[in-house]
Formats: sequence, C-alpha cells, structure tokens
Amino acid sequence: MATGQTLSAPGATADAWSNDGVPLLLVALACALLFHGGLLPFTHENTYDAFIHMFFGDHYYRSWFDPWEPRWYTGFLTTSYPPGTHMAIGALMHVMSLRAAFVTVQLFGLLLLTVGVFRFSLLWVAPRAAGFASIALVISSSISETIHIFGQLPTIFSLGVFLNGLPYVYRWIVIGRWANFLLAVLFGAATTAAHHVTTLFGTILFIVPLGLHCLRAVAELNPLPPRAAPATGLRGAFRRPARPFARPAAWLRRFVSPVARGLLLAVLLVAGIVVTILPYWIWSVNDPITQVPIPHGSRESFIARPDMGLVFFLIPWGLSLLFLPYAWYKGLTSRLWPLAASLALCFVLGTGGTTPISRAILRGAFDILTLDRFTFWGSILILPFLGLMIDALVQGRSGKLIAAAFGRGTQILVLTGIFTAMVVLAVSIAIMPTSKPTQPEFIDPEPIVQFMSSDDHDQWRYLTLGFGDQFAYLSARMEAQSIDGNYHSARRLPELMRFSVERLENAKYLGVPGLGSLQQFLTNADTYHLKYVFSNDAFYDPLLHFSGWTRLIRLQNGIVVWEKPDVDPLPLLQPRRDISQGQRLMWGLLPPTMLLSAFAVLIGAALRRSLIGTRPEYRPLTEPLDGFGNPARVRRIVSVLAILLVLGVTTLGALLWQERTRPATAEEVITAYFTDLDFRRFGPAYDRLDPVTRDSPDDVLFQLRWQGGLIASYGKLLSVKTNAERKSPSMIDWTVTLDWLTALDTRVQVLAVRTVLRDGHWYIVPTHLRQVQAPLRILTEERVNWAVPGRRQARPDTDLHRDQIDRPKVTVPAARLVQRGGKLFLVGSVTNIDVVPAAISLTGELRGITGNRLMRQGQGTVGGERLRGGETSGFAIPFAGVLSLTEAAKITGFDPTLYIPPELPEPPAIAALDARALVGTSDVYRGVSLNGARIKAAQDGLILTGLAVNTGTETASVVRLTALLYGPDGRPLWAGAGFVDINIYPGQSAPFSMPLPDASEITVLAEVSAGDITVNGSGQPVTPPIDPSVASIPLNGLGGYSALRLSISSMTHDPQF
Amino acid sequence: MTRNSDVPCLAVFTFLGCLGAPVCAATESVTDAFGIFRSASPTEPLRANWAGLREVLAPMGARAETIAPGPVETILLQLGGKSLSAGGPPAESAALLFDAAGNSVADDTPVALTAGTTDPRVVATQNGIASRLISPGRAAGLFHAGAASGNRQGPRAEYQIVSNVTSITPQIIPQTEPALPETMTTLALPMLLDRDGNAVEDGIGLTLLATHADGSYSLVPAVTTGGRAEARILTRNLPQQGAVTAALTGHRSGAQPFRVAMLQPVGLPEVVARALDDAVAHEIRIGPFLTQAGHLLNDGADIAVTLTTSSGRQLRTDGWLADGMFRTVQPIVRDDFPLDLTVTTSLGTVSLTVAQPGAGR
Repeated sequence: MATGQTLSAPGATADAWSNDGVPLLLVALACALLFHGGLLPFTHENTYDAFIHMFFGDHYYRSWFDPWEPRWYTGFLTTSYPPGTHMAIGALMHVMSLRAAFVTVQLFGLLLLTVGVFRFSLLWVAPRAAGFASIALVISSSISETIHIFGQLPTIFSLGVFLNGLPYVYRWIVIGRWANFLLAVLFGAATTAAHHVTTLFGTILFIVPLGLHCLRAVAELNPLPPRAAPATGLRGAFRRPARPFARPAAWLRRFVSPVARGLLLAVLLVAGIVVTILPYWIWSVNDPITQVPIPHGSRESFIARPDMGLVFFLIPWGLSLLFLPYAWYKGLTSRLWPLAASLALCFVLGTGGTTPISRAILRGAFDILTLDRFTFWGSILILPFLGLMIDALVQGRSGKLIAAAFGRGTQILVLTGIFTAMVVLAVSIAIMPTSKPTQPEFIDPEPIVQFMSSDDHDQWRYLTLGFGDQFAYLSARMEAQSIDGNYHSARRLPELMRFSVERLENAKYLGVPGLGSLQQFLTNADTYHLKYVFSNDAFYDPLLHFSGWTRLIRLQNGIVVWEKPDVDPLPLLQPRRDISQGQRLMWGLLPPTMLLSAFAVLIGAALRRSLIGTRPEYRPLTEPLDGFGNPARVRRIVSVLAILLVLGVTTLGALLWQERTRPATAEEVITAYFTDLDFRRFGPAYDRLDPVTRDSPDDVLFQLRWQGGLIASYGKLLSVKTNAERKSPSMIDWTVTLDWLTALDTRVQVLAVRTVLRDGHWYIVPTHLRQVQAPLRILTEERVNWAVPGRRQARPDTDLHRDQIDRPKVTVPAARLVQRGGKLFLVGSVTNIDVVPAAISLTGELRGITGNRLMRQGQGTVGGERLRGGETSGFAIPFAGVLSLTEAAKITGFDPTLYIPPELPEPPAIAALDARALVGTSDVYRGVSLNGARIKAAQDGLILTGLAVNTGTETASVVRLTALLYGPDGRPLWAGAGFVDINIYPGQSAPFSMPLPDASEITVLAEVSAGDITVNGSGQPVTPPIDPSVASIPLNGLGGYSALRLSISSMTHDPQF
Repeated sequence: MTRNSDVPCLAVFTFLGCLGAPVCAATESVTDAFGIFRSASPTEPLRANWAGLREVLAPMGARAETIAPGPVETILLQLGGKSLSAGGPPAESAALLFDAAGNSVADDTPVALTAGTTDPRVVATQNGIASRLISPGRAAGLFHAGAASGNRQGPRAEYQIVSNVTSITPQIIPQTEPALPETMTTLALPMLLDRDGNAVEDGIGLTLLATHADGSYSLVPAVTTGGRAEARILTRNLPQQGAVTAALTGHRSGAQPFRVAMLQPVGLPEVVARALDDAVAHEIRIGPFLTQAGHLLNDGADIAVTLTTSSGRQLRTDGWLADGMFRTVQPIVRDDFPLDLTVTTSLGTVSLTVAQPGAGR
C-alpha cells in the first residue's frame, strides 16, 4: 500500500495567520482562560460530576497502581472508568490541593478543546471561520452547561484530545505517511484513556463524515483528465464524470488506497481502544452491568417534561438552535454535507424520548446511554457552520448584503446581537447553579473528616443523606468507607442494584423504591458494619429515629450525626477483588503514557509552528466571492418576514396570556394550594385563600408552622384527590384526600375543604387551628439523666469504652412467625427487666425444616428499639426481599404499596430471634399519653382512635404508637405502628387514628421456641413469666383478638416546618 | 486504601530485604510462637522475656529453651455484670495476673479475691486467671471488689446490686377529690419496693391504664424518681367516671377510681345568623358557652351542630370553640329559615332555633 501521495493540485494554501485565523484562536483561548477560568473555582462545587472525578483523582493520588477502592459500595475496581483525567488530577495533587487540581485539569481540557475545534474546523472551513468557530465554542451555552452545571471533565478533556487528533486522520487518509497513521492511532488511544465513549461515538459522528470529506479531497487532488468541474452540494459529491464508463477503473483506483488506509486506521483505532484500557474491557466482560437502568432526564419526552427539555436540549443547543437551518442549508448545498448529516443525527438522538426515532436507532443502548451527550457533540459539530456564518456576516457575502440592504449599522447590530446574546446566555448558564442552586449549600467536610478519624470511628462504615454530589468530595477527603457511592455502574450489592436508585443519598426522590432500599441498609446496619449517618436532610429523621438510630451530635457545619448502637466494626481483613499484576501495570502506565505522548506531539507541533496552520491537502469550504442579489428585494422579503414574525409572536403571547389568566377551577385551586404548601411556596398558597376571610400572611404561616409534624415537616405530597360533597353556585364543600410520602410510610390525610367563588375566581376558605390552651403556664417535670462514662480514664489508650458496659437484661416473653397478605413477619414482645434504659437490636431469622438459615432481617420501625427499665413493647420484623431484575423491568410507575417477598430456597418452617441490648440513655421521652382511646370494628379490621396528649416538657415532633395484639390463646398475634400526623407541644394534644388488621388476615406459621431466642448472646435470663394481660386493653374477641397492649414513644428533637 | 501494593515500593522493599538477609544470618535469632526476632534487638527488649518454648538460632547451631513466667506484677480484675439483681443469679469475679513481661503467671498462684463485705477467698490461678462466683445479697447498694497476690494488688472494681424490678408490685394512691377538666392532674404511686424491700431505681418506666365509663381507655406513662412515681394526666376529653391501674413488668396494681368533675352550663348559648355578601351562604355564630365555674367553656372544646332547615334539609358540622364561641358558614339561603339547631358540647346537648337571619355586621 502506498503511504505517500503526490499532490497533483494543491488546494487552499491560505495561511492561518494571514487570514486572521490564529489571532481569533488566541482571542478564543484568552476568553476561555478569563471567562471559564475565572468562574471555575467558584462554580465547580455546585456541579453534578466534579466531585466524583475528584474522588477518582484522589484514589490515584493515594494509590496509583492499586485499582481497588474500598471507600464506596463495600469496594469496587476503579478499572470501571477510564483513568486519564483522574490520573492527571492525582498527579497534580502532589503539588496542589484536590480542588485546584480538578480546576486545572478542567481548564486545560477546555483549552485543548478550543485548539481542537480550531484544528477540526480548519479541515472543513477557512482559517478565519475556524477562528470564529473556536470563539463560538468558548461562548457556547453547551460548554457553559457541561463545565459549570454538569462538571463533566472526561467529556471535555477527551473531546479536546480527539479533535486535535483528527487532522492526522485526515492526512493519513488523504496523503498517507506512516507518521500521520501513528499519530492518529496515538490520539485515538489518548482519547480513550480519558473517556472511551468519546472515541467510540466520535468514530461514527466525527471520523465517518471526515472520511467522506477525505474521499472528496482525494478526488479533487487527483482529478481525472479532462479535469472535472468543481462540484458542490450533496448531489455533486459523487457526481460521475461526463463519461462514466470510459475509465471506471481509473475513477475507482483513486479511492482504493485512501479507503484501505481508512480501514487500516479503523482496525488500529479499535485495537488502541481495546489495549489502552484493557482492564476496563476485562472488567466489563467479567462483571457486566446487570442493574436496573437509572432513569435519566435526557431519555424523557421533552414535551411531557419541558424541564428536562430545557436542561438537556434547549440550554445545550442555545442560540445554535436558531442557526441549525443555516447549517443544514449549507450542508445540502456544499461540501459540508457529511458534517451536516452527522449534525442531524446528533440532533435527532439528542431529542431523547420525545420521538420514537432515538429508541429505534439506539435500541437497547437507549436505556443505558445518557442522550444529552449527542446534543453536546451536535453543539460541537455545528461550530464550523457557525464560524462560517459569522465570517460571512463579518466580511462575507451575507455581511455585504445586510450592509447594502439595511446599512452598515444593521450589520454591526446583527453581529453584536449574536455575540452579546451568546455571551449573556453562556454567562447566565455558568452562574445559574450559583444563583439557583441545584445542589445543597456547600458543606464543609472538615468536621466530618475529624469525626470519622477520631476515636476509631473509621472502623465502621458511614452513610450520608442529603449531601447531593458533595458526598463524593467528602469521601475523597478521608479513608473511611461508605456503604453508598456516586458511581452507580460500580454497584454490586443487590439491595442497591436492583432498585432504580442512583444512590441511597437521595433515596427520597425515588419514592417508595428509594426509601425501601434505604431502609434495607438502616435496619440491617450490622450486616454492612454501618454505624454512622451524616444527615443534611431532616426528611429522614423519623426513619432514623424509629429504626433505632440515635442522634449523636450536630457538627459545626450543621450536619447531624446519627449512630446505630451495637454494630460490629469492620473486620481487619476485608474481602477485595484483585486483578493481575500485568493489568495493574497496564492500567497505571498505558493511559497516562498515551496522554503524555499526545501532549508531547502537540507541544512539538506548536514549537514547529505547525499546530494550527493549514496544509495543502486541506479542502475547506471557502465563501464564494461573486456578487449578491438585489438589496431592495432582500429588504422587502426581510421586512415581510419581520412583520410576520411580530404578528406570530404577538398572537402566541396573547394565547399564552389568555391561558395564564383563565380562572382556575375549584379543583385546580385546591391542587395548586396543597402543591404550593408542599414546595414551601407560601406566597402563592396564601393568594389562593379567600381574601375576605383569610388572616394576615404571618398569621397563616404561624398556623402552618404550629402544626409541623410527620406530614408537614417530613412529608412529600404525592397526589391530591378531591370529591365535592356539597355544591352551591358560589360555595363547594370538598373532601380532599392527600397522599403523602414520609420516610416511614405513605400516609393518607383526609381534609374537609371549602371553596368559595368571588369575582369569578375560586378561593379556599381558610381553616383555623384548634386553639387549645396549655393547662399550666409553666410545666415542670422531674427527670432522670444518665451519663455512661464506662471505665474510661484519662489515658491515651483507645478502647471501646462503651462496649465495656455490660448489656442490660432484656427478655422476649413470646414471639411468633406470622403471615399477612403474603408477607412474613416475626411478631412478639420484648421487656427490659434491667434498671437502665436499653437500646435493643432485634434480628429475626427464617429457618428451613432442617434448621438451616434462610434469611436474616433487622428490626424495622415497629417498636421495641428503646425501652426504659421495666417497660414492654410489641415489635414486628418484616421480612422483605429486594426487587428482582425481571420484576423491576415491569414496574413503570410509582407504587406505594410495593412489597417484594424474599426469595427463599424453601418455605420457612421455623424462626429464631436474636435480641441484643446496650445501655441507651437517649430518646426515652415518656411525656406523651393517650386520652380516650377507643377500638372499633371497621370495614377492614379494627380502628384505634383517641387523643395523644403531651403532658411532659419537651415537644414531641413525631409520636409513635405501637400496638401489640394478642390472639385468643394469649400469645402475640400482630404488632403494628401508627404515627401522629402533627407535632405536639407541651400541654397540647392531637387526634390519632390507627387501623389494625382483623385476626382472620393473619396466619401463624410457627412459634419461636425458647431455645431459638438468644438474648445478649446467650439464653434468656431467668425471670418470672410476664403476664400479657398486664397493662393491656381487653378486646374480648373484637376483631379476633383477646387484648391490645399499647406503648408510646416519641421523637423529640428539632420540631420544624 | 493502602499503598503497599505499589509496585515501586514493593521493589524497593524487596531489594532492601535482600540486602538485610546476610546481616540477619550473622547474628543470633530466636523463634517463638509469634515469629522470628534477633535476640539482641533493641526495639524488642521485652520479647526476650516472653514465656514459653522457643528455639535459639545461633551461628553455631540451634537450641531449644523454655522461659518461665516471672512473679506477679500486674493484677486486673473484671467483675460482672455491672448491676446484679438483688437475690438474683451470681456474677463472676475474675482476676488476670501478669508478670513484668506481660506473661500470664504460672498456674496455682494463690490469689485472694474480695467482694463487698464477704471475706476474701483464696483461689489458685489457672492459665493466669483466678475466679470465683459472687452471689448478690438481698440488699441493694454499691460494693467494691479487689484481688491480691503476694505483695501485689489489683485496682478496685465496683459493682452494684440493684432492686429486683420483676418482683415489684406497684400501687396507686387514691384520688382525694375529682380532677377538674382541662387541668393537669397527678396520680401518685407510693414507694416502689421489691420483694426484699429495696427501693426501685430512678428512670424506671411504668404504665397506668385508665378504664373510663364510656368504654374508652387512657394510657399514661410514668417514670420513677426517688423510689416513687407520678403520672400526669391532662383531663381533656375524659368522661367523669373511671378506674385506673398501674403496671410494671408482669405486675399490676389494684384498680383505683378515677373521677373528673364536669362543668355545668349557665343558660343557653345565643345563635346569630348573618347573610354573607357575595356568597350564597350564612355565617352562624353560637355562644358564648357559659359555665357555673364562672368562666367560658374552654377553647378547643368539641362541639357538634346539626342544622335543620325549614324544608327539613339537615346539615351537620362539627368543630371546636374559640373564645367561648362557635362560628360556621353554611350554604343556606333566606328561604331555609327558620333553622333548628341541635348543639352538643361537654356541657350537654341543647336545642336552639333561629327564626330569621340577623342584620349582620
């Protein structure tokens, strides 16, 4: 194969300097440095991905050659992500801080991309247009979003490397030479080192059109005699010669070598992709991603979800969207058609689920890929067109036409308008996370780092809640391990993988599946050595509290630390997955070598002043220099179009205004009111109250704040259902049913709401709180406080001093394995027979007929986790499985009643119970009592109602009632928990209502024998039998039960709204 | 995450190890149960005194030797559990004895173990441990234990004997007079003593269960302080008559009557209906609700109202009082008058009539 090519007809030989290309590039680089470089130090902490890349960078700083990362997901291999950019951060961390290293690499990647866009554009358009293309890149909204909102480092960096390598691809195909070939392969490998997806899709979206462009250049450089007239447009690309059958072999022969070179390059590019990150491919094959797809907004229909359309389509396209018709027009009428075709493909794929086309093209990959990257690549592919257009407006035909038709001022106005609009848009987007944060406020990680590194706290795992992506930064700052992680492809725990939950950290946004997954970890914390939770979101407080977690302290940064008692520390030797030494060496050496080699080539080219110059074999599109049409005619057409545009915009505006000012129906007002309250939009909510009877805004807000509690403070509104009870022309009484999601369960709130019609608008008649007065002005209470110093002394020895306190004596008088509605529960009662309060951990175990263990499950939120001395409580341990992959695929909507039965190898025959207790002196407030409790038969069982009264001195923010129902034989048959909806201040009260099942719904599967109950690691303490009828309410067969025992516990901290 | 696996470090360590091997071979080394060390190692001066069988590897050959433990130097005493129940099962007092090098002392070393007021008992060590069982007496209190051998003593260990909670039967002191409605009333329990007369510790939780005449129940927790317990009941929405029991673990007190005084009404509440301007409805105000106690019926008191229009249509509504009044807006028109109202509060049920809407203000 010939590797050299003689140029028979030199193409455009214009020098980049002489045509203002390079000065424009320098302007672009300066803009990138000043604009993005100036903002990055302030914006990166609000982005989605920056901290994840920092975490990986920190990994390579700590351990360049060891790919095992134990800090997330109980450990994972970092060979699951190409390491180039992360290694760059890791290397820089030896001379600067983690965040500075990230900013430096990101900025370097952007500069590389700016040069890359210029070099790529030079292959298609003239140098000055390429210069404008690079400026357009720097002020494009897609770059602003990718860097300052998404924080995508590898995407930017790898594309920068990739585009800089494309000139070598072009040269290799057009003129050959092995040096070009080697450099093309090298840049492909270097791109892969940073991000393999860029190489994979870049080959299709960038190299294939470039290859077609190369063939055209080859045809032009080697014309058949007689010389063919220059062809333009798509039709002209493969126009046959005048006498096609005269010398077909000669016509084809021109393309044989370039095509062969292209194919060889393709093979070697693939080989480069494989070899450079071979451990990644081995990981992919050996450990395929089998988890449920994580929902991503880019796959949504942007019509149904306009918010997603804004983020993943409108913002990245930005003003380029207006210039798409121009790009396609140019593509259809010039040699740029391959580029335009690729642009069209990106445009279509970037529309996500708006049309079925994307799914039809991508098939299975549709649910794995994030489709916004196609929009991003499209926003890069359009840049040569933008450069061409701006160049034409500045001093090309278009500019002259506008100047002639409307005057020079208009031309300047148009240009200024385009640049100003682009800059304003880019800046607005860049600072959007600062002005409208999408992440929680920055959390200083230092107090958490200090906490975990002191007193051997890092011997246990931790979990963060409500940190957003800052979790990754926190974990990068310390060696402690988390059960969670922020790189979901590396998840391997079934509890995480099988739910569509990106991470536990933001479980509440995934509704019941998310909270279900979180509960698995919180209730089985011992299994995962999970002892600490750092919470930045009070939503999870009730779940943590009633799962037996203890609120420890609030750190200086406002983060609340929760601790789970009685969790074993991590073993000294932890399981890890090893890869071969050869793979480690490959992973640690090849990617950085490829990247460094590529940079060396670029530096060498720059030193030789050949980095950004044009070359004879380039065949860019040049603006024709011929004249233009009649200015007067253009003026008329533009004027007509402008009038039509104004008319269209006015009509659209009028329609929108009409729709916006249409009086809402009463149902819409009710829905909007409760939605506003849910999102804490008190102003709009207040506006929906009856202006005649409503109180002042402060008074209304006071009433809302006063209630607080589980629903108002910790709930998330799921749906609003309205039912008109009484109607008159100007007044409707409604029964409004609100479905709430709380961290504990889904709750239904039924309210009586009245709407009135005033001046054609419906309003909600405000309700008022029950203004009960506390019976005493000053409440006093005798209290007992405990300190548990254990055997701690002022010695530097670290020991588990708390564990040296003997365990309180508890007893489990009775326990049973029951089934209700197909669900398995272990129910029973537990009594603290010691004189100190006990934090009790209950673990149920299902066993087969031979006594083999089938499943272990920790205590849920139904009672018994904290008992004072002498107290008894019922408990229920629900045995739940995790969602299987097959079932997960079938689930398309939100199902609050979702229950996944455990996958057991055989039906459970017996059950066992393990109870362990530690001295737990907190959260044992007993100031809430029940007044006038009644149990009545209801349609589906029993209903317990009454008034919860706070006679103590603390505010009960969430009150739980645990009901233990005894069967006719006097043994426990069912235990359930109910929660009071609102908080209760001292001296105040709140009604409660709690449904209980009928005994006929419950089947006893097995009695837990005394031998199957272990308490504090041994048998039960010898005590007199506990009479179940003591302190029980006799039911005398009501609902099939003999008695009901109630116990009350309260969460008292941080009443809030 | 460790850096040990880094290849460069590994290479360096391996290289250094190779350099050091001949040096080690030239000096006397010792192998014991924990590995190999140089006998003259300055970093491990105590290890040469570790007891047990070991082999000395000298340049001239190997020899086996046994190092015996030295005399008692340190005594540690463990005694558990932290709190023994009066009259309950015994606890173990165990002393661990070590020599100066940290070896467990030789078997059959005599140790005198003391606990509380009992006489010391001399026991012999086995594997460096001497132990005895201590039966808790029937009196609660804080006690100390110690261990001594030769001229060495261990630090003091403390243990507590606590009351036997499972043997306590609570009682309730009867009410002297009925509790007033909407007040915080206290039910007191006398000193809670176990079967041996020990007072219960602070912070123990009890449950009081009140059974009311209307078939409802009230559940009130109580917590012990100073050997006694008090339960506070807010007499809100409670009927006049009832009985209350207290329970602790498996024991329950006898039932005591629990009475709540009821307020008596003074006269009938007034009713005013006012037409609303721009809604086809009337506002109805009922009250004030006066009582013989000389004050209004309390804010928040439940009220249920049934309105019957002239055409026989019935509207039901309920709510609560504020400032002694009840206010409701109902979709009724002028033709619906006269209205008959049935009003139920804790003062009883009354029937009222309003003939015409008032002037309104």
